[in-house]
Amino acid sequence: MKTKICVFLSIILLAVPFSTWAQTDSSKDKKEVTKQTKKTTKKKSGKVKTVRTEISIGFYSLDEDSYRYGKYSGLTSSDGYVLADFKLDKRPDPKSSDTTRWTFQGRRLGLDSRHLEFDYRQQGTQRFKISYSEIPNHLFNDGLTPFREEAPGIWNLPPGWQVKPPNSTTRGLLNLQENLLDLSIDTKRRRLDLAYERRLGPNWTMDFDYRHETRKGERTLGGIIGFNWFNPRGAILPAPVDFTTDILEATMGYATSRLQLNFGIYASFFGNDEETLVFQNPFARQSQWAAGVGFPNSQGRIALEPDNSYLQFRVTGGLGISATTRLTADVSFGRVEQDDAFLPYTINPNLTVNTALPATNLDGKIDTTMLNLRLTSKLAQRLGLTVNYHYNDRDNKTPRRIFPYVGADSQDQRAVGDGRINSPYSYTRQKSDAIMTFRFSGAARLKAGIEYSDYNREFSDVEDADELTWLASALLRGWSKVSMRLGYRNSDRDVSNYNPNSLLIGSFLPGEIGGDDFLNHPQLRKYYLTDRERDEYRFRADFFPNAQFNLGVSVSEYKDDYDAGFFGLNEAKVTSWSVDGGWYPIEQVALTAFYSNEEYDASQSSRHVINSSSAADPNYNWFAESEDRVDTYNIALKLTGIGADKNGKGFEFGLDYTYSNTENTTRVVAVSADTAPLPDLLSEMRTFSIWSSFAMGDRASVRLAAENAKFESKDWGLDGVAPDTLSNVLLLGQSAANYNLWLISASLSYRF
Amino acid sequence: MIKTPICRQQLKGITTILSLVLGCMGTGWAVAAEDGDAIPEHEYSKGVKRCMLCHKEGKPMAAHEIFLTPMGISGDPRAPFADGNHDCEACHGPSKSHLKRKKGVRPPPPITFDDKTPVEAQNKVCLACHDTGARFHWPGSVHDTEGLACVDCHDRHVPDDPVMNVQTQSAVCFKCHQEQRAQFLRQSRHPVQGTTSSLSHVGLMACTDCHQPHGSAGPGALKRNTINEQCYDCHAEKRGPFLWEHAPVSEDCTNCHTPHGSNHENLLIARQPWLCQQCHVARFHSSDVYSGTGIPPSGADQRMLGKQCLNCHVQIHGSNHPSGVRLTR
Repeated sequence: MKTKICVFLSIILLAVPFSTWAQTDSSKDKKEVTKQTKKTTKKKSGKVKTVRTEISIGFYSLDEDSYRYGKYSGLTSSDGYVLADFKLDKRPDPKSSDTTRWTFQGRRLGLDSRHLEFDYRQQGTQRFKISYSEIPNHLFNDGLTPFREEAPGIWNLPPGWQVKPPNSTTRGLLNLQENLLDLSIDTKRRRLDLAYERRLGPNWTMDFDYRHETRKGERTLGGIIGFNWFNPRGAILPAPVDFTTDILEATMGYATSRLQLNFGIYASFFGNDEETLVFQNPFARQSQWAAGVGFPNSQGRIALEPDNSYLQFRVTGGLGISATTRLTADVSFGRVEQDDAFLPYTINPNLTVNTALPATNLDGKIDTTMLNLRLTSKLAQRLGLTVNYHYNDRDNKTPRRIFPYVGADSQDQRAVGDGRINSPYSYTRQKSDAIMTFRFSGAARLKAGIEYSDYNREFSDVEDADELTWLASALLRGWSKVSMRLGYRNSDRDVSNYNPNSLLIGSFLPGEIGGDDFLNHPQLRKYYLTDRERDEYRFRADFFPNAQFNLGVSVSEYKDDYDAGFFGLNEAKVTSWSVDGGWYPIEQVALTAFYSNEEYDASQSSRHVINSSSAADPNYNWFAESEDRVDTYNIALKLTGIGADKNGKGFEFGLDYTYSNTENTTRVVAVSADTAPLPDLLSEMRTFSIWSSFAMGDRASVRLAAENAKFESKDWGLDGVAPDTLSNVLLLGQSAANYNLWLISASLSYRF
Repeated sequence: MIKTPICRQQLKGITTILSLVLGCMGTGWAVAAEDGDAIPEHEYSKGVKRCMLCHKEGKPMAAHEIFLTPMGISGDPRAPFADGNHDCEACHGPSKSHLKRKKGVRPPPPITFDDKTPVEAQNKVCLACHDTGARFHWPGSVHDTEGLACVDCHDRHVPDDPVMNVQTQSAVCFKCHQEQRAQFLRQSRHPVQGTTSSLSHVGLMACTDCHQPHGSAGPGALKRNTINEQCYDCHAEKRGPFLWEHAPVSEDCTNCHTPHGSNHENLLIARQPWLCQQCHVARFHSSDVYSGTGIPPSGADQRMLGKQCLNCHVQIHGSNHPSGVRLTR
């Protein structure tokens, strides 16, 4: 393979001097060359060609297998792939009364990421589009598991599985190693889209969209037996994915120059053909489990995502109040429903269950209401005003019931009084804002605004919160060589009353919360609920000193500050800057480059709570700081029109190098507990691509491409971790992704 | 529906905004708003044939490919090149004066889609025809108030506008959104075409699969009304409702995930178990100290290895199992 790659690269590189020689040897007028390079669809007779067809056939070849490299493209195997693309494009002759245009195209037909599309439109009348897409997601293929899939969603242990009671850990799995099988995890989406638009008259339009999508494959889920803090035992399992989603969206529109109205319906139906994941318990009985729960007599069962439906009606209106003032309103009402049958409390017949389920299904209902009002007005020639009001309500009408549960298929059912009540979560958000813009001469402008948000929640530690935001930005544009944009935003979220455990306590019967239940420390403040001050800065400048050169610089920072003296997230900050530019010395040469640096820093604090004494003791405090650093750059060179002649012959050549390096450093410090440094989490991607394209006339061209892709990653959660590294959880033992491969491709394109 | 009395601070905020609005409206009405972007009176020329004498193939500012775009279709009575619609001048304004040089200089057409014409005047031309559908929320949208011109994103003179193609769209968006440009090159990302020629880094999604750049009723110019509604378009299995909900999940997916690209798997904003510990400080394992002592060779903690907290709390987005109160079922 390496020899092939060397030959391949040589062909690509040798073509450059050859083509340059060809260009030098040519006595053709340069202007003519340029003109021919830019040749468009006009025939020599001057008549416009209305149907163009282009077909590309070739191959891709990798020198080694890599799931990660082809995560989304499907280029995972060294077996090779067919490269097949086509496009038929019919455009109307602009001199005729014909308004029909259609395209039929296919991309990556030989890969798992293929796409087919037919788009037909009669401009001004109607449009029909149908497309089919596949999106793979290859996660890893180096996993190991002793489980065998007996039926979809049912994973059992191999015959002869041996445990060593009373050792209920992975050390007690006596013949684990000889029973491990290779495992790959991936999913694939297949999606069909249909769209139809029609103009029904001078004022009426109709849009119809339908999507049918399936997602099949596997993901990983932990199958756990055991419930309290010391006794869970589990195994990471391949869980089935067999999802189907149908989405229908239809809109009827009415529009005049002053009034626009849209009436729409949106419906989503989700179905899951695999409702459960059932697995055999691989461990010997743990002493705290009920009798008969250990291997070989017990199973575990997880409820996978239930079917659901969502129906929404929406009306949108726009009214031109005057030549300079417009009001838009957008109101929608929706309902989510979910009524999949409940599973029994446990799959294990050895466990005692005395109380029946309170209902056969959840009867889950959520009503959503959304209202958006916007008034835009041009108050003066250069002064504009936009006022918005948003109302968003999620009203969860799911009934509340008591569930005397079974602890992870390992305990007898709890008494009714010790059961838990579901907490159907609801919230209402309102936001009003007013934004003013002032335009100076030229295109410079100032923007300033204020936002006020109000949050109300039910079954939450924080029921009421509000947030006040100020924003300002300046755009300096209009000079021929420079434009700049500068923005600042400050938000202050204020919580009137934080009740650290109201959600949890509310899920128990009054007075029934027990000593073994997990109340959060009263000094915890959850970051998405609590007081917060947020500052955002943004700056962007673009320089265009001449037509051959451009340069852009961006800088931004976001900073969240939370109240000191509480546990949880204390501070988070994202700082990023980037430089990008392009140099185009002549029309045939483009050199572009991009560099970006981003740092995400977060600090949090906590206290290790063991009992009431430690809960009050600052010696149990600990702190964690996390730093994510990312460096990314890309440099690309593209040469076009080399050796081009009036017969359509010519040559294009390109180089591209992309680098992305990420590092995460986490530092944990405790007042009294023992800690040790953590290695950094690393990932480094380097991709070098080289390609060339030879046009052999107006119709045929050959494209050659080669790519060296390297990916190195280090993850202490995966590297060197075998299936039995943990005592209590049987892992899959996969490693962090790494590859270093070459890909070559060649294709012949023909246009007619 | 939650009903709470309006507190003092809320009242203050609402009052502030209302005062501002009313004040501005008053100012606006007091100052008779004039349309400063109106096109001055000019005469029309004799149509496209005169334009193409100069703007033909091979010349600077060539515009011959306009005939391969929807605007060049004369059979559509609403198109600029339909009979009576003044061809190029439908957008560039009556341009008879542009045909003759004055003192050796050719005066520009009344509307040029560059810095010579205010953005509002440029956009007004486009919105005169494209004011419905996706442009419904354009007035007052972020891109509008930030002063973007339609032509900042759209190339109207080429047969295939790059921003309308899933393979090339992201490059147009990345011209301004450089942070996202870098984020789509990270190890965990949505499959949007990144800034690379890698044959494996193909664009299977477009920015416009989630965003409506012309403005929307949702946050961040999302196409749907809320962040979660947008995510449910492709991740409908997480819509629920579940018997046991995880409140931050039901409220906002971005509480834990970042949509464009992340250092951490599954687009998480931070690494477990510390991400979970930002909201969970209870007895024993949720408040325990996790550090290098929990990974080989020092040790092996089940909240540090494998799927970390999700080794046990497997249905973190919500569980519909009657015994799934701790999201383990």
